Amino acid sequence: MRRPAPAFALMSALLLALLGSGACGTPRPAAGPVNAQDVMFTQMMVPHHRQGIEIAKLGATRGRTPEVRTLAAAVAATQQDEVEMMLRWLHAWEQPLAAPSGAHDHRGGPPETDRRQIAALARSRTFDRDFLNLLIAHQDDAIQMAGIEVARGADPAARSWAERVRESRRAQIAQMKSLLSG
Amino acid sequence: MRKSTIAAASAVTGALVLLPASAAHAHGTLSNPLSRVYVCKNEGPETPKSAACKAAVAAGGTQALYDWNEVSLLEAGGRHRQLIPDGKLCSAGREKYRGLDLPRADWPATKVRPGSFTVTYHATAPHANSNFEFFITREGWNPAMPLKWSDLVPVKTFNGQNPTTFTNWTINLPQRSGRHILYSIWQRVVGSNEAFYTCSDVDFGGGGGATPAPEPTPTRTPTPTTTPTPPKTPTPTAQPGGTWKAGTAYRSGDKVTYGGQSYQCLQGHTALAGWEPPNVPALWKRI
Repeated sequence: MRRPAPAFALMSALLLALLGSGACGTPRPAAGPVNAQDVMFTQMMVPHHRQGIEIAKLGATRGRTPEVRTLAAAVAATQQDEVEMMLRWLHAWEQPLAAPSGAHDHRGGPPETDRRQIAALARSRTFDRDFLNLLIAHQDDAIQMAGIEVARGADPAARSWAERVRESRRAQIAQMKSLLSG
Repeated sequence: MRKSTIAAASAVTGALVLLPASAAHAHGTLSNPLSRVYVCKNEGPETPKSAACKAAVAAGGTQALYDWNEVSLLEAGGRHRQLIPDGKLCSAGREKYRGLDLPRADWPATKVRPGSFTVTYHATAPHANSNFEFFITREGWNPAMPLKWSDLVPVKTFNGQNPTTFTNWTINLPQRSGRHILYSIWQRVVGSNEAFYTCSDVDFGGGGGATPAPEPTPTRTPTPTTTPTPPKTPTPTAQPGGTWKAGTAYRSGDKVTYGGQSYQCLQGHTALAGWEPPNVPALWKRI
């Protein structure tokens, strides 16, 4: 159980700051029955969320309609909280904050594909439509990832959060489809 | 520097379920006859040429085509008919891939004949211990109608397969005329519940008058913008001090009660299931 001191010290400081700021959601017990699925899910969700935040922030600033900007800003804000919550979990579980390099990312395309897509979105002339379609696809992937956690995870907090991910992303997609047809 | 995830988790819990196999996900689609997603991906996500692929992109965006090898459900576990509703077979019921469900009679189709036919599966990430099932639509199926499970007739199943990047099987196509869909399900069996779904449009020729449409009424021309949609975004109806309710548009400063507690809205949004005030501290502050 070697701990690379500087990284962990920094992380601990960050975590203490987060805990102290009251930014945390539901408090959870320090240790529960955590399995490899919980760890993998959380490690994969952190970068996936960050990508979602990047997309959502584009929508929050570039969206043509107030409805799109409002939804996008709320998605960015809630997912930022969730990233911090996941980092707290990984820390509490004494796990690396990222999956070991070489671990297979569930998403098929290499990350560059997604970066290209986000760059293309920034240049889009049909921004709202392209933004909504990209975020729908992104959240649809999140629903799939959360589904595995619900089925195979052990940690009660992570599993119940995964349930909420499925629920809230489905509801977000319904809102976005309604905006697309509006 | 990095410790093994598995070992570390064991140290924490002492009772760990090993799930290494599910960490690596398979990917793929049918390449002969070309699946819809493969056809449109080959045309180019940004430059679709056929009217059908243009409509698919207009309806669902381009990301579905960049992720052409992931028309899958990660936790299918053989429950295909429970998880995928009628009309959504080509998208596996996933919103991301909804453009593939458009019922149209002009999807680019592979010409086929009844009899022996070699199918090819392109697995960019093949996995052993897999079952592959192939179906064809029933005679008389109308390509302009949504594809239903009851439209599918089993053709052949290959169990316990160990696919490679390109895997061929020979199947026997039954007598059909006109346009049909060859549908496939790739179900992983060991280490994962993941399943992949493909729709390949095929044309047996001799369509003409030989394909009696089940309904005499003129077929509805589907347009990409008429996909079923949920109710419109509701108009703001926030009542100060009211009970939190999904569908309500809240503004910063609005106050609600939820679960006997009072909350103040920190950031405007339309409430939705999963965004209950105690669950989203970015949006609500307990007061």
